[in-house]
Amino acid sequence: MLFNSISYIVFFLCVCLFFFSLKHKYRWVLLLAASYFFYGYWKFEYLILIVFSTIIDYLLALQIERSKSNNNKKVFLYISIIVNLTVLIFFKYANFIGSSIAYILQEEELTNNLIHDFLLPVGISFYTFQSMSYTIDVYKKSRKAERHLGIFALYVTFFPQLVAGPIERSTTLLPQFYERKEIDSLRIINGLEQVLRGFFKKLVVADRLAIYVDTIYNNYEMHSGSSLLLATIFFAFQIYCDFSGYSDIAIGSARILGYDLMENFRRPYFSKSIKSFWSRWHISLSTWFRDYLYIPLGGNRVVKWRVYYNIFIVFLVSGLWHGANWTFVVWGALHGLFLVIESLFKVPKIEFKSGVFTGFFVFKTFILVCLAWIFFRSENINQAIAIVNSIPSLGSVYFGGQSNFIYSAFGLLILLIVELRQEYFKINWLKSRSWRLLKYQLIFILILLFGVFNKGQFIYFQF
Amino acid sequence: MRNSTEIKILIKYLARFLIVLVMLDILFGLILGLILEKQTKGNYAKFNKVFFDDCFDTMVVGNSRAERQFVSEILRDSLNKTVFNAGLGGRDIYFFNAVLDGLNQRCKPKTIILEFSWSDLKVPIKKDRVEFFAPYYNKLPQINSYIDENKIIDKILLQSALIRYNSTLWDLLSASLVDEEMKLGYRPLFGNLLVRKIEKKEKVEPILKQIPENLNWYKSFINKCQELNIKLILVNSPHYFDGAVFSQGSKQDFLDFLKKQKVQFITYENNKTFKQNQELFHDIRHLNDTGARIFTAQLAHKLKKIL
Repeated sequence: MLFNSISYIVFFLCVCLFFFSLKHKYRWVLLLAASYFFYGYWKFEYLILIVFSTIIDYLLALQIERSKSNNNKKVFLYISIIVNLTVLIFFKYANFIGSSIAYILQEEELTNNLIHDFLLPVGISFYTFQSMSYTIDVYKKSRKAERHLGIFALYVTFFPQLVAGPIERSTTLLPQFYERKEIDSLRIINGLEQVLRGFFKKLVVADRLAIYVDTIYNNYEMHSGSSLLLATIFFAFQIYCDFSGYSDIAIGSARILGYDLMENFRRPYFSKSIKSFWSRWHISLSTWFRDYLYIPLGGNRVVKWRVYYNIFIVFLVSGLWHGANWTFVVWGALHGLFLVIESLFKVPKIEFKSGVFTGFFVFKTFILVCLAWIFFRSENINQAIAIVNSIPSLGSVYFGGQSNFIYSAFGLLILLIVELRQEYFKINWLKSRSWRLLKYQLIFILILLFGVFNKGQFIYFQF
Repeated sequence: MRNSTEIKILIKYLARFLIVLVMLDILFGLILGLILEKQTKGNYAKFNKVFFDDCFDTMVVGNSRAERQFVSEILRDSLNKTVFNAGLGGRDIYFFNAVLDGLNQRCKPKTIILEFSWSDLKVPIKKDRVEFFAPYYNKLPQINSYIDENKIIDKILLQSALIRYNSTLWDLLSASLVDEEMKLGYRPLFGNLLVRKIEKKEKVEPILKQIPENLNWYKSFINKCQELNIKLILVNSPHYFDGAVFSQGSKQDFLDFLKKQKVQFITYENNKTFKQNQELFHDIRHLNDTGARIFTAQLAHKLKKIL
């Protein structure tokens, strides 16, 4: 079920009504049933996969806790990791590995034998990582193993964040399912505001920009360097608004029900360095990699060259996590490289008091991020290289449909003004309830007047 | 006790939100409705003319290739009939079925020239493009079903003016200021074709088995013309390059189908004047103004004999 669909609005209203009319002890049953319904709405068969992951990790975590010897604990942890990764690799990477082997061996026929035609289950990378982090937490004794299978299943499948995050930690989300939730009007209004903001980002900005980006990237040979550059900048905002819009709807929906999900984006394009970018972009994933991969690899507490190696490996894996294509691997590698270079030529911490300096560093970071986005958006490496090569030639810009371009620029302008205010001028202009109500009306009207309602899916669903 | 107070606060807040929203929706509807009616330039002015204002003897319909290649004035002067170009970029046969249904029964055209490219059979029908007509929802009830596709939820949503005018604001507000020159619906393109990169041509055949939906909408269009006693002529106007290449056999299937339906077909596929003549094209799919004038003059000469 897509967030940007009437079915989700009806579904969510029903869930809210039943949730607040039920007694606390039955609410988990409703949320679990709703979450399975939400996921099964795409493809019923894939529920088997998520139930399998849930049961395996539930049982293995209990075994880890019960085991007295460290070796046994380790064995159960490894089983959990291997099972989770096997499922992930089979569904997500088998075709990629198969076609890469066939390409290396130059055997076209081999491709047909090595490739399966199973559909990639929506959000598999998200719930696998969430479930895996739980067993690791139990192993590290950061939390006790969950005894209640239903509550644990709800942790794995909680519908607002099931298919595209934020990837929640068991230490923060699981205890919330035991808390009694009361109707809190202020909380519900705040939640609705965040949902509305998410819809604005997705429908007015992301899906609008997508029309231009798709036109240019799908026929990149036909377009000038300037058009490709503009499309790349637009893509940077498209993917940001698509994904952070999804996160806003997820966080807002959960907040309405009384649950707090972690912040996933914090105005990433105002970052002054790549390091800062990664502390603001897809925060739940970057902190996951930090805690469950970077630190176990040694983190910062190793010799210099090893630190750089660790950074690079983490970003390579992060690239691969995003998708089974070499373009994502290069995207990850580029970010790893940028970070290594940044660490090598560490500029002494400058107090960014001057607007010019701030502007320069923000611009530099944005350019580097955009360069990497070219690989992320391209169908293959050849296309990405051709685009990188074409951009310096500039030339005249193709604006596409005039009205679409105007709406894109308008949506982007509103987004930038709002984020600029949040980043640099922390003044709350609209304090009173009436002003806030008017603000919500305005966002709603903008969505209805300028939103794109037939674009569909969120980009990150494919991951 | 606390819960009921919170519910009351919430209901009050949401009710205020909804009441103001409905009022704003009505207000927007009134203002935008007036702006729509007063359009003098642009796409909505074009269809206000077609649906409400004028009657024409001959009407040209089709996508941007109709809009950009058929010079209404030349046809008018040669045929000595009133002519209007109702072509619109990015629209397909589904859209023009809606146009046909929306026409005022009292002043339907005597002849319709439908621009046709072989690639129109290959490209899937884009029903969502008919959303362009959403501002006419309920004003032209006969096209409602094209817009809402008989879905109850869409019927409800389309009662909101803000939804009906979704994505139209710029077109409505800017048309009289920035819209390009348009003479009797014809919108010229200027400049010569520069890019000459041609994609690999792919073979798609047999046509008729692969395009039941496209074909059904062509059938529907032809039937409607026959019912309304409108003479329909399909014109395959010049291309520098047509993305879809069909074998002669599969083309014949479609031509046989047209013959069976007694629809006249004129093709410029291999016309010597236009073939690979960059000077006459603006891009690979569209003639520039010079090319369009030469083509329309040639077509008008042929049409004179038919009409």
